[in-house]
Amino acid sequence: MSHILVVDDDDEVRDLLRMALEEEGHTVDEAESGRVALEKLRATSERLVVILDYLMPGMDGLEVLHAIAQDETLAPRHSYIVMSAGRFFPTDDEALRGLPVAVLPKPFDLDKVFQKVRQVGGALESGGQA
Amino acid sequence: MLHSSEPEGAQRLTVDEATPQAGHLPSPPASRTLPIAGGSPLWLPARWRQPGAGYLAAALLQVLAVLSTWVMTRAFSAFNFPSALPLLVVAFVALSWGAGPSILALLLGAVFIDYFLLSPGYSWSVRGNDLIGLAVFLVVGLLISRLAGLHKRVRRAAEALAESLESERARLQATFEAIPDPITFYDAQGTLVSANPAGLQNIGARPFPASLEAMSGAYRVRTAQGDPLPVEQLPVARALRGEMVNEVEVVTPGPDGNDRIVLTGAAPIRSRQGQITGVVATSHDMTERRRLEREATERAGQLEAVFNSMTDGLVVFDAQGHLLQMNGAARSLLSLERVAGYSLEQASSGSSRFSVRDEQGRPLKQQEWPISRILQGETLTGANVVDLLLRSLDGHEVQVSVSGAPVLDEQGAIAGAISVIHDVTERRRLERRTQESLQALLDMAQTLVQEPGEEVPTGQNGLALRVVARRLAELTRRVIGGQRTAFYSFDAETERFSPLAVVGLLPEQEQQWLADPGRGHRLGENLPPALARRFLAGEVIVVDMREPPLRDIPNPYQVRTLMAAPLLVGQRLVGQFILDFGPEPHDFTPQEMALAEAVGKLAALVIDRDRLLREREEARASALALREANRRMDEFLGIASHELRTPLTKVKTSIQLAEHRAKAAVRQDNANGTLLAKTLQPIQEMIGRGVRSVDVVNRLVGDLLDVSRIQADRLEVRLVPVDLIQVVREVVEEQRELFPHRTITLTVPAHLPTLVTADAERIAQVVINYLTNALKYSPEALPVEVGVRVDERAARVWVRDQGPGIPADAQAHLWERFYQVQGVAVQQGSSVGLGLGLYISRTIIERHGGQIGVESAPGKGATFWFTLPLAG
Repeated sequence: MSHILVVDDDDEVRDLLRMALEEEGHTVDEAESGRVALEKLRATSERLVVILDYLMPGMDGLEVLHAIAQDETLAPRHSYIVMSAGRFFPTDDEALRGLPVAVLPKPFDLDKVFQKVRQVGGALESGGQA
Repeated sequence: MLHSSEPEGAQRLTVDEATPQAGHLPSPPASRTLPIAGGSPLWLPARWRQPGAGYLAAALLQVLAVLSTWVMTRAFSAFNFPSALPLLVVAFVALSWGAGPSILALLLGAVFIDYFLLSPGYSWSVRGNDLIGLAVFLVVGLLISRLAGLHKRVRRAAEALAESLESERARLQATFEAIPDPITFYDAQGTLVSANPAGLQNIGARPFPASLEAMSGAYRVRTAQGDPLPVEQLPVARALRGEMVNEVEVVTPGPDGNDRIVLTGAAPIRSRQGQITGVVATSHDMTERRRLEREATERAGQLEAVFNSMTDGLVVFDAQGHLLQMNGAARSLLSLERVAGYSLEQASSGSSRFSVRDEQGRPLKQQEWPISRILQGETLTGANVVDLLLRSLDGHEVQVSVSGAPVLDEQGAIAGAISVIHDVTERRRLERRTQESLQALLDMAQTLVQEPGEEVPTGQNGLALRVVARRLAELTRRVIGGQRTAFYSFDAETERFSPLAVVGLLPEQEQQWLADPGRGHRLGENLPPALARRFLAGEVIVVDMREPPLRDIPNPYQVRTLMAAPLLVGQRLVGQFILDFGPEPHDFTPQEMALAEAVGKLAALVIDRDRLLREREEARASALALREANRRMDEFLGIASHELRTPLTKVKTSIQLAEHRAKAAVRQDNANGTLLAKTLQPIQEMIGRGVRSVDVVNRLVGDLLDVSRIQADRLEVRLVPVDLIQVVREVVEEQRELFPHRTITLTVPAHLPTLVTADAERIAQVVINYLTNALKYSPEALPVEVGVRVDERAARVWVRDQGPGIPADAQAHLWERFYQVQGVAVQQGSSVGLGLGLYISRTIIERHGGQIGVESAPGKGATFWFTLPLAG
């Protein structure tokens, strides 16, 4: 199963997701802000599936992605799933080119989350990008 | 010999030695060796006039004489004069050849006489008597030869004199005859005795005047003035009295009868004793010359008149730079009175009192002066005309344009210079004034292209216009002149002029003027209607303040006439400016009016531009505000979306998690027993319902947010190429899962894919909306049909249900916000709805450039459809 990082400023959402994903058998880590997420992403040597909330105080999801995209060591490492209450099209953003970003609308369907994670995680394991 | 009183070194006329020269004794050729005068007799041919001929002749003749004597002595016994013939010979030789040969003849005679004639013959002895006789012979001979020589000399001199006199006379005669002027000779009584050919010609056919009286009468001699000349005043008469008359001008008719002007002179001819023996008179026909002189004088007079009437100055210099002539215009231009002798040297010395400078004011050295250049051979015309600055002698600064050319003599050498001096001071002044006006107008135009922020701090736009208007007023006054200039803006709505700026007042007055509320006035107020009409038509008008009704309005500055110019942008009046000269009478010239018109046009543009800029500022500000409002709206919507959906997320996730765990428990428990399964089953159902509720609420939230977006015109669609059929298919699949017991059919055309340029999510939203409605309002047992059809240019999607249908009057309102169909029971599912779905759907489809609609009749069900234009 995949190693997942859940990034959301809301503890309850993080909690719920963690529980759900752990029950599915994944290893789940949490980050309460974009900055913490970046640190963790940089620190780890593993390839993670990052579930990223879009709207967060401080550094929001988009800024995190931009930061990662500019970081040459980080960019090719992980895969991202962005949770968005509004409409987000990563392909419209030039700066995110090359970064594997999928989108899940909020409120999401848990089954869809599992499906996406499996998809993305599988791609990571096989060495490619989702 | 002809000679004139030439100065030293002049050539003397050569003298022909062969011809005897009048007035001079001929110098004996070669016989200068003898100290005694000699020469050859004139009766001898020239060939024989050798120096030795005399001696030879003497010898020969003496021989002959002696022989003859001897013969005669023998022949005539009474002839006893041995020395007679020899003496004769001596005399003859002396007379003919001079003293030298005669002495030889004498000696020879003596010898021959002694030898041959005296007894004893043929011997040299001499007897006493004979000796005396010989001696007497010798003495007499000497005397004779001496006398003869003298005589000869005298005669020769006389001959020479006669010859020279003759040649002189001949010359005189030739001159006399050749002289083209009449020369006449009179005797002591005044009778004309002779005349030279010219004189004869002059007399012509008329008789010789017999006397002076006759001359005076017949010849009607008059003075130059025309009065008859009294006889005693005739030049001949005066000469007869001993006067030397020179150059008297008289009028007398010529041989043809026409009067002629004659210059006469007369001189007395005196004898050796001084007595007047006659008069010689000359005359010279001056008629032609006088006529030419008169013509020349006339012409000169005309020239002089032209010269002096020329408005340009004319100066004439000789080659050395001395001023020869200067006409009146030049004199007054330079205030130069004394002309004669004035030279360039003087003009340039005297510490440059003319202060000659070039156009830029740089002083010019004398050799750079145009006159100097002309004297060097330059011709200054056309483009080479020189502009100078001068100071006249009485201190005026003048600017002149100098042209001219050198005057050449026949050889082409420079003999002088003529120069025309044209006063351009006034023209330059006008040019300068025009230049200044132009510059001021350009300055005005400059304000047009300047940003107001460059002059005035932002946020003070009203003030900016006043500042600009004041500047305009200053420039206008600079261009046209005047005492006061005031600018007004015009409000088309109120038809009133409001004061903007004024120049020409004292600062406190200016403040007062601006602050005076009564200063603004209505259009056409106090103006005669005709003038007001012209003003509105764009004409600059001149207003006389002394005329009614203006006479009655308060006039604190005692303005007499003023000029008012409308400021028009196209046909639109935006203001006016008024210019006056105070109490001074002033005729506004056409140039000033034209300038005012130009200023008016520019000023109109400036004022209008100010208005435009202000409007643009406001628009920009409101655009800014609008953008800000939009930004806030977007922000709000984003936050609202997030804030509303987060709790939903939590709820849904919680519930789903619970569902999962329940399922897991059921799975696990299935091995153990069915009790848990039975207990949990309804719980699972409830959970399922909860999840669905969350979904409904989510949809409602979505609808509300969408409506807000539509309100704020912030609903955006992201158009990309999308396969429409795929979108519809996915929606249908989803709804089938949600409502497994309903029949939803899908009809799609065979050729796939169907590309449209659309926002997939939004189109799906519309299809979901249609399907949800269809499922909600049609019986569970009846199917719902979904279809996609591709026409030529558009793709059509429809959802048909077999519900109760929609009456026509309701159809019109279906698409409005918050509309909910009345009297239709919800057949299935939740009745929860806000009446927003169709409104949002319509907006979405309209945004895609498609069409939307419904076909329905009560009892016939309803078909909701929309079309989208095909991509490409």
